Amino acid sequence: METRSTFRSPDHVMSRTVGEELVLLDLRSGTYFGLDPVGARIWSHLQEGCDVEVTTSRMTEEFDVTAQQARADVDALIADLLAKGLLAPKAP
Amino acid sequence: MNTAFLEREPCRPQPRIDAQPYSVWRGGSGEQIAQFFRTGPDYLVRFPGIADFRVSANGRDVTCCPTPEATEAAVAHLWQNQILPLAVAHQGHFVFHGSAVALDGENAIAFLGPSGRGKSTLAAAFALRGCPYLTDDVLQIRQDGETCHAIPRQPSLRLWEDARNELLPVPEAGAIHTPSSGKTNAAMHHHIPACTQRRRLRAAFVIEADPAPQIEMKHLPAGQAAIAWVANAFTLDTVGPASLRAQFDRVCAMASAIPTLNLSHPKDWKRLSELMDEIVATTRAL
Repeated sequence: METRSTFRSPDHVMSRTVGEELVLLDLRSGTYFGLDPVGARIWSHLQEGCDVEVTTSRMTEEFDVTAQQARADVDALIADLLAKGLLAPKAP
Repeated sequence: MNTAFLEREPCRPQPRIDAQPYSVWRGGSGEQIAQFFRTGPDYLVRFPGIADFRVSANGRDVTCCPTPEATEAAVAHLWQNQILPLAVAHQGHFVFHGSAVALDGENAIAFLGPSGRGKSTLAAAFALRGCPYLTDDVLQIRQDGETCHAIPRQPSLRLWEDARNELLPVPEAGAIHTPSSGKTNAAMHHHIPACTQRRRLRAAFVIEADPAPQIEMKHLPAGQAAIAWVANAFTLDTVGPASLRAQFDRVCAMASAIPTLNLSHPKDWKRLSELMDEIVATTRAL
């Protein structure tokens, strides 16, 4: 994942914070997905316009993890959300 | 329960529908037991060989057209336990595949899950030990701020044959076997106490499909709980964006207000009493 990549939520995705988690609804299929508190924070940073590098930096500050682990988590979640069509790259 | 108005049409064979259904329900063998179509602004739910139900766009009016070979019992079952809950849910109310029992004069607990998970069995077992049931399969919830109430349904409890034999060994008069569901309706059976007043919902247990070696109850975080509630919601329109958005908002808000736990257990009649004890203890500890 490019460190300067930014992402957006597609129009067919709804999201709601429920407790510390995030629930996503894909309106195309009526399928629901849940993100745990870590995933919810990553999503939140991405939606604010943070790129991969900034998101990783923030996660390192918020959670007791190394930068390497944070980056791995961010990359993995982004890849998963892109594969499911729940996230889309922003045009540069 | 909130209601919809039913109008009956004369029996007729089911006409061919060329469109593809937007949703189907399948039975245990994979056969289609219900098909969902849009007909203009309205909905058509077809139970092959039994009846067509046309539901108005606002969910308030339903027209039923049975086939000539359909029995009254089968049509009545489909109306009460499938179409009416779908219509009421479509009006914006919370209606789920669930049972509920009254723990005491104020509180209730609910059991969620698709058919066959043991919702009715647990409802009957709890009722027989002094916790009357509010509903055995269709759970309507009314939310008032942070408080959710389980709403009682008409006294009717349908059990599979093994559960009926285990819990009710004396054959009861008035029991009606419903071929379309496979269960027997122990309607208004005086051995199974029913609760006719709403109760505050203290907890909900989502029953796992497979037996587990031990009884386990795991508190679901709010997001997972919301998904579990949606998965067990009666939903007429599963593809329309407006309908999905409305349901999403409602259920996410409601799920935060009800402690929801995953329940896995051995599904062993000999341990049913132990299971009920643990459910009650867990609920009281919340």
